[in-house]
Amino acid sequence: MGASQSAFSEQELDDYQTLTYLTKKEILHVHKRFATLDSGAVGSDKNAKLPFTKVKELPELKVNPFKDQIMKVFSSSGDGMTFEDFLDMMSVFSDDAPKAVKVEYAFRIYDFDGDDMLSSADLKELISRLTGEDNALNEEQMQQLIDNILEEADLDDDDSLSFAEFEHVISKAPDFVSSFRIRL
Amino acid sequence: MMSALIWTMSRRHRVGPDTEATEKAAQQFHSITTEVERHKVLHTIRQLPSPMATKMQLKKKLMEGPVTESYGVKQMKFENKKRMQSLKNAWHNFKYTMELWGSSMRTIEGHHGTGVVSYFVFLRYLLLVNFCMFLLSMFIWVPVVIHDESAYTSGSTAATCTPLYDVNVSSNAFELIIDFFQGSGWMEKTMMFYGYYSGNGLDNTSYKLSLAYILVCIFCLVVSLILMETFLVSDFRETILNAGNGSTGFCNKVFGTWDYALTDDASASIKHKSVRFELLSYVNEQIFVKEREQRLRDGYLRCKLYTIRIIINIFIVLVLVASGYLIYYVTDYSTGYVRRNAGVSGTTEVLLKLLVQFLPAITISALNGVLPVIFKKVVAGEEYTNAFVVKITLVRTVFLRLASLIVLMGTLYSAVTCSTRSVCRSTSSPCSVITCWETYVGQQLYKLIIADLLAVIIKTLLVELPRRLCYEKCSCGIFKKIRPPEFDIPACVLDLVYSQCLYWLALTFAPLAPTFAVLKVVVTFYMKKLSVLKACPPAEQPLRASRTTSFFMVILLIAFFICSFTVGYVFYDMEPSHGCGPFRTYGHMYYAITQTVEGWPSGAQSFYNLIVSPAVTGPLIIFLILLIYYCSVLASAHKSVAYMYREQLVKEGRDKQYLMVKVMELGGDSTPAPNPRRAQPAGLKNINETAPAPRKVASTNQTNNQQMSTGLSSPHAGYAC
Repeated sequence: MGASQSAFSEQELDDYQTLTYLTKKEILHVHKRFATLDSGAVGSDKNAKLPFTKVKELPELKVNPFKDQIMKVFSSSGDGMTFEDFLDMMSVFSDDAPKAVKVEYAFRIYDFDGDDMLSSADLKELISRLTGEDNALNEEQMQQLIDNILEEADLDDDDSLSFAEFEHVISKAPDFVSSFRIRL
Repeated sequence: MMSALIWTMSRRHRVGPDTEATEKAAQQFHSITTEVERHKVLHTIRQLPSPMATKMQLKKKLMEGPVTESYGVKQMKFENKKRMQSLKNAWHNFKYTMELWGSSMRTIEGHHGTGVVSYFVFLRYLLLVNFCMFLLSMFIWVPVVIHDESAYTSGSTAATCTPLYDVNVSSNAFELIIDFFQGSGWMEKTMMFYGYYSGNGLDNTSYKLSLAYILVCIFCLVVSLILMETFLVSDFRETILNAGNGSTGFCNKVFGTWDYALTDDASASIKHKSVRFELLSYVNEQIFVKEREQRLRDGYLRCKLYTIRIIINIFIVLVLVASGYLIYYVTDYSTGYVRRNAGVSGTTEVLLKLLVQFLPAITISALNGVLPVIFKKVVAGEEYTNAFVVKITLVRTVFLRLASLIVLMGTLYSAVTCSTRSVCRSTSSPCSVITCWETYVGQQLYKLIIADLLAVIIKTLLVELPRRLCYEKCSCGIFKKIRPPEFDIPACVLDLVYSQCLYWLALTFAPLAPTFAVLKVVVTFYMKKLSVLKACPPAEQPLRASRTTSFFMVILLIAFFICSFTVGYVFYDMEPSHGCGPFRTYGHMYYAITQTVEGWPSGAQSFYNLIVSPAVTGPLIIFLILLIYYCSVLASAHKSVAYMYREQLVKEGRDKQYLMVKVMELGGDSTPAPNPRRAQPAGLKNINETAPAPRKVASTNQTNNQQMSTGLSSPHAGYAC
């Protein structure tokens, strides 16, 4: 804790605290965890960019079926995560982040083809990742599930969910906030 | 307004640190110079879905330039808010470093997910409640420890009755141990029970023990209520928000099901399986509900189903009544046995007497274990949906638990208010001889508390761990049938609620009960942690944390009201013994308060009398009822407003599609019609913006007239109207 503390000035910690939903102690703890991924690189540059393969080793991300999407969404440069990206990620996943921010990022994570709509293909990819490769649903079950989802959420009948529709349906989902959370 | 501008600017754009859009926003910052406005904009910047570098840049641009002083109410409010915010931050930092059992909770969360952790959060919260009660109870026994007892001289009945309260203390070592478990003999006259506290030693000081006693009991209940409210309100708000129009079961199951907190490989694979199971069973359930509706169109089948349901409900009520009678009978038998064998000695007889004394506790535990299984079997015939099955089984189990407690209290009440009573308010034959009824009730509750504590330890160490070991090591014959133990959250939570009830009741009769409560909660935490990490595998059908936490709190509240009613009745209507306790000189316990009030100046006295008279309390109750009615009307109005907004959303989507088609028509037939699926609702996006920038392009130099995303089948110019 002492080493990471000396890595940041008061002003920097202040800035981070104002711009994220974490407290100073939590920010230092996040940096400590980030440093364990590659202590050499982070030791020399506290904002070092670590490649995705290294970040994947984080226990909280390792078993997550969406880890590649998560890293892609939060990475500002596209080929790795800096500490600030990591901090962004932890801030959004923290308890204090408002629902609107979480919904925004959840939409980006679940939008696999990156076209700003959750089409049937996106939903299919989402469900198959949720069940895992060994427990995949068959075609008919998958289609039925997708139909049910679109029936509930697709208000303008265009066979895909826009952000507004996603937000509208997630605001009614009681489990979303409690499950979209990582505590370090 | 500025916030809205920034928000719309970056809504669907992943703006980088040097985009034009960022520059544009930054230019607007020149107009913001007061601290209050800056703070508001900073808040919005924090919410931006943009990388940290952008936010830092925006913040820097915001903060450069001079700050104009502002005065007046707005500035004052802002200063207050800043102070509150820094206090809140300090408090959060403190909580983070000092979080009790934080690492254990994270381990459990990594293995089992948020549903199970909610139980442990509830447990930790109960520890807080019991600890507060422990601190308050120190007001009773600490002064008594400092000043010793002395003989009663005031109040003639008290003086004559006190020597009559005499307890035989045996010298046999074995019997001393037994006495500890029974709360009799040497244990009866200790600080544990009501009978010890006469308050006589404090006569020389101005500290009135009787007043302190009654106030501590009342404050403990009030503090528990306040803590429960703070815990309940945050959860309740979410539940209300989520009980909106339209069903969202599928979306909830798909988008909200993966627990991001999981860290364990084995748990993750189990989670995958359980997700698949849940999704399929939910699909099947929808089919089941539709089929059931079809079937119930037929009048005959509907009649049949309703008759079955009524019969089953009657059966359940009969079962509950029968178990209540069983508890009453066992308690009666137990007290009768003790009365008949009051003077026995000899190891086996004494042990037998101990066992019979614990018989009510054992009966209650046995009923609590067996009846829920019966409920589960029986509810299959009623053809409810899965979610409702869980709810109704829970409600029935709750009735069982509360009923057993109420029956126990009723039995004790009848034993204590037996008709043949002496001048010293002690009962004599033909009723059981009880010289100090408060201590007697305290002893019964003490036995229940001990039984509760032992049950938790025994269940984990001697039932769950061996079962798990059996399942893992033995793979032969009958042992294969034994499945590993399940961590049944509703049952565990009801256990906690039941024991908390015991502690609320016991506080009045056994002032050291909160110490036991704290000890018990700590022991329960470690036992359950052992059970969850070593004995029980992650559940195939995990319980939804969100919905059940507030339900458990509601149960706790109901139990709380029953307990406080009992305590209030004891203080208000029951006559205290003249031979023991701090209230021996009073006719009723609450006279301790009225006597104190009589010592106040006459103005304060008449004010107090006015407040507690029906002239004030009557209109107050009517006013509260009106308030409740007003709130419910408000709630239904909000519901219809939310429905209206939903309709508006649908209409706007359709409007946008229509406009898109029109624009294409006007643009001529050379360009193929765009995919109407890419339409966005108009009201939520600035219409002058383009479609979102394609994600593949890493460079962030997008201008506002960019081509539409490559997701479309054909390239097309931006649809600027």
